[in-house]
Amino acid sequence: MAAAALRDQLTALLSSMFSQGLVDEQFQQLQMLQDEGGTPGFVSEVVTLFCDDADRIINEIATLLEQPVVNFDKVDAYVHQLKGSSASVGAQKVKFTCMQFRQFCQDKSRDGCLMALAVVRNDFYDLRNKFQTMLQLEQQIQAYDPKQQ
Amino acid sequence: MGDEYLAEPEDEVAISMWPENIGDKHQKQFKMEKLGKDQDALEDANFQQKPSSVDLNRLMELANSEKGVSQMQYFVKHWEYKRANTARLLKEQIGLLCQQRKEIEQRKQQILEEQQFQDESYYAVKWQVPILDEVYKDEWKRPSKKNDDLSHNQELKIDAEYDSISYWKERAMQLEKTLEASLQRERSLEEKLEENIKNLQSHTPVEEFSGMLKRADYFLHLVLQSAPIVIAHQDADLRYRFIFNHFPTLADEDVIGKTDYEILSGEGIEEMNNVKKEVMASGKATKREFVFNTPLFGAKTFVTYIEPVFSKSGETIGVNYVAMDITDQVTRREKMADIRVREAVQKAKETELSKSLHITEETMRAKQMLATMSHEIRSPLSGVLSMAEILATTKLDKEQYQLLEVMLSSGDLVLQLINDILDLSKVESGAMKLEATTFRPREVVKHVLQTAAASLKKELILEGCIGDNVPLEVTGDVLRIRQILTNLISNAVKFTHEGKVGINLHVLDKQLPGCRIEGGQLHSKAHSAPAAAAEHFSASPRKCDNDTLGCSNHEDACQTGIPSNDNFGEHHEGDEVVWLRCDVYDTGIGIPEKSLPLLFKRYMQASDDHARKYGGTGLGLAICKQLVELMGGTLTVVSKENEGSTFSFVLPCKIPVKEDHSDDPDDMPSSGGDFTTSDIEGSFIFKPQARPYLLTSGVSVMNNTKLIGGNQFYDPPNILEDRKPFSNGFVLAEDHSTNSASTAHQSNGPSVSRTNKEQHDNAMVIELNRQAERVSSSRGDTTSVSGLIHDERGPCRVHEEKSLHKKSKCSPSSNKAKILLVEDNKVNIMVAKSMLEQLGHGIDIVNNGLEAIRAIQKRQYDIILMDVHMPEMDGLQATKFIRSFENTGCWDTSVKPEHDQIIAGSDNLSDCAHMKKQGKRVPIIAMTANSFSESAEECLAAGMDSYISKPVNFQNIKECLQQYLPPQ
Repeated sequence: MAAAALRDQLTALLSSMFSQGLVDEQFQQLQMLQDEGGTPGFVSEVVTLFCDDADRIINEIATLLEQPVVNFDKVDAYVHQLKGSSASVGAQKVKFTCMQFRQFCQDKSRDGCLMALAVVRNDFYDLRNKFQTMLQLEQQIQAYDPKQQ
Repeated sequence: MGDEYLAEPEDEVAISMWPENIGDKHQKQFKMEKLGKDQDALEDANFQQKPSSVDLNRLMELANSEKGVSQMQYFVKHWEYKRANTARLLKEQIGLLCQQRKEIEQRKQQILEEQQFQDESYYAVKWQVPILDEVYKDEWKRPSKKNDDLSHNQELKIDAEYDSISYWKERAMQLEKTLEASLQRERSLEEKLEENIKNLQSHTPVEEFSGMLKRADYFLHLVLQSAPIVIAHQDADLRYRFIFNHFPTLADEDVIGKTDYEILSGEGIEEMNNVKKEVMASGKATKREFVFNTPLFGAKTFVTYIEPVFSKSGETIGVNYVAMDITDQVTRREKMADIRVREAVQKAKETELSKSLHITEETMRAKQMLATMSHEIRSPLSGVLSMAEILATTKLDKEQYQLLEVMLSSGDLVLQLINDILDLSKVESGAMKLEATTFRPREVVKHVLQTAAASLKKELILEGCIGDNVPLEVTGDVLRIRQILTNLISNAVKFTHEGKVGINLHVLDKQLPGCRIEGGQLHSKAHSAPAAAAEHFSASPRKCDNDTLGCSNHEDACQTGIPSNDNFGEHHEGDEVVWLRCDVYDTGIGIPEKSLPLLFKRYMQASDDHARKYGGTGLGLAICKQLVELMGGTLTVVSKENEGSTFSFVLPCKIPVKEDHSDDPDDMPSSGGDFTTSDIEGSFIFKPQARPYLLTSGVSVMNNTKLIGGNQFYDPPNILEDRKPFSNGFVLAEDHSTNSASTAHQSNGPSVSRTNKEQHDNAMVIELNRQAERVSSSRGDTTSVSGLIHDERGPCRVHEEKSLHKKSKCSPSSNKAKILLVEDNKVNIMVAKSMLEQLGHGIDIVNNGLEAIRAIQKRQYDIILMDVHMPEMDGLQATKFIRSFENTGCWDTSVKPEHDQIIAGSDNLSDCAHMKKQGKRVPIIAMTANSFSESAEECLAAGMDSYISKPVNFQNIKECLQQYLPPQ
């Protein structure tokens, strides 16, 4: 029963993430891959990787933007990376903010970049929280599963 | 006043001297300062004191004027004052004399009294004398002191011989002398008095006046000596009566009594005279500036003060004027004004500029906006389209299929439009960067034609002709050149319903070698001139395919390029720039003359009718033009309605410096791959083939034939004969004499090139069947055989791609294929890897292009999934290297040395040969992020087979693999 409740909770969380546009079909794909391919923990692995990676990139960007002379090409490259990662994971919202971010990079606008960074960071932390909740739920569900079986 | 009197004699001397002196001085000054002609002006008066220099009569007249009267009064007063003074002095003098006389008389009286006294009382007299002496002293003071001394001495003397006779005698005589002296004094005083009186008489007022006047004159001259002014007086008729001019150009005589008109001519004189008249009429002084431009003193500006002169009765009897040269000041003032005006203009311009800048910025922003939008639209659209394409492969009934077709074509159009917009905005915003790569123009032309032929849906002849003098390799942005060519060709094809479409490529200003060949080979002319070619082909309808083919083959063989010639050119020109002229001609509907100017405008088509009939975005030509211009060339069009159009562009291309031809992997004589070099071919024809079958064996057989022919003998007509049996199918004419060509390369001699030229002829005719799908089963065969000959792979590829569609239906790739994933993003890797594994494929992962190349060197892959944007070496570059390796059998040496080393380390020549024999063309699929820097077009141009847009999803990766993995 607890497992079912947890499952409901997870489903609700996921659907809220979808409806909020935090994640898109690509994320669904990942779940599909996990379910169909019989690779348990795949999503968790990818999500963790993504979170670590994104966290690192965001920090890098923040450092770059603090420099007296900002190397926008470098920032752009990082943002591109982040965009790629988020697209792969299906982190739609982060991806979109990255796209906007790149525009600021191309304009070489430091203020714009700082603003965009704040937005990206915010979006990312929001998503990470959700992901963490999601992973915790999944773990809990898994913990129940063997017992049930 | 007394001083003045004393000074007077001196003045008089000076006055008599100075006129000459000053005259000299002026003369000198004049010369030294070079003030010459220009300087003076209005009149010229040498300043001379002689009466002749001024009109003295006039002076008398002037004396009657108010001024003159007041001046007279002044003089009179002055004179009176002086006289009074003199009188006073004289009176003083007289007083003095009178006193003296009185004294003398007193003295006399005294002496007489003394005489009496002495008789009566000696002492009393003696007593009196000192008293008198003292009185005398007081009265006469200094002048009389001598007398006093004298008398005193005498008294002493007298004292000594007192009372003797001689004493009295002596005394009498002495007194006598004193008397005489006093009388003399009296006389001299009288004389002086008389003299003074005489003097008084001689100083008449007139003399006094003239003296004063002279002095005034003198001071005036002193003051005005170096002032650049002219002072003059003119009478009622404006004739000069007096002039002072510091820098005269005319003698006084020439001026006095004349008017301005008589002296001067030119600009400004009239005006000045008018003003003078005005002044006389109105009686009011005025100050004006006059600009003169006279032959006498050039262009000068004077500020002139003019005042009227009135007679006693109040009539105007003339004018005085003072003029000062202010030419310099005026010039400066004008300069200032000019500067101010310019400043104002500048400001206005700046404002205008900033305005237009603002507008430009706005426009740019709008364009950027459009580009961004287009970009955002493109991603989902390509999704829609690819889905639709997949849908087309599913089982559909006819109606559904038709609907789908419409959907696809519309979608393609939109996609094309968006791509065009993106391209255009890229060029316009300057974001379009040209890359300098070395490429082979022949290949480019051929590939473009092949591509066009592949999608040809009409019965058109596509032909290409490349001038013999076109260098083997040139440097330029091959992607863009291809894009231009493709665009022009597809336009040409679109608007041509029958006849032909072709490309002519030749070098401008390098006609000499070509001419020589043409002279020898009449047929070649037909190809160099599109019109002639058109005639030729119009005479040979499609039905006589074989004949035509033979014919054209013959021509091709005859007129194809001469590699050694090119090499010769290369050696002579180094990295010189050649101007390549490319004509894309067609026998289509043509363009009406009135539409020509609009042709290259955005969104413009020749007419709305055409747009409706033929579709298209109207951006293609605009892009072409922009691109050509970006590359420093020009794009022009010549067209006749219903006869066809020729679009020509001229591009500057550098010829890469390659001294050593053995560096070029293509020219390596060590392997059999030699025979694959077909870069020297000069023309191609792609003909529509109605034949429903293809001789698949033709290719391989022919290759053999050619190998023999190339190595042992060469006789083009014979070869052509040999070829004929196979020509109904897929016919390739290859160069048979590359060996000799490479020999020629090495010898580098122009004479060799000439002797070899006929042997180097080659021809390539590829007949493409638009029902090529039917032969798709033969693809594998063809590929394996033609692996030796990379140029054949072009057309083969067309088959390949065509056939793949079919294949994707029938061969689900469940078999385990070896896949190389080239991606630098960890997350992406993970996702893609998981997907691929789920599909059951083996996967190797590398993180950049360089690693990919190394991986390929180590083993073979069935497919490569290549990210475009990567560190170290991006996907495009890696693909180019891989393709180049596949084509030539050797890794490109023209890359950076570090690449070279790495590659050379793991790969040697024998490996090359080995790899090449396998001859496998690995499908490379790009994974693009759909950003500006990663356009699909570039991917394809780099040699990639297709692309999937990121994020990679299960569906598209699966489809892609199905499409490209060979069924096993």
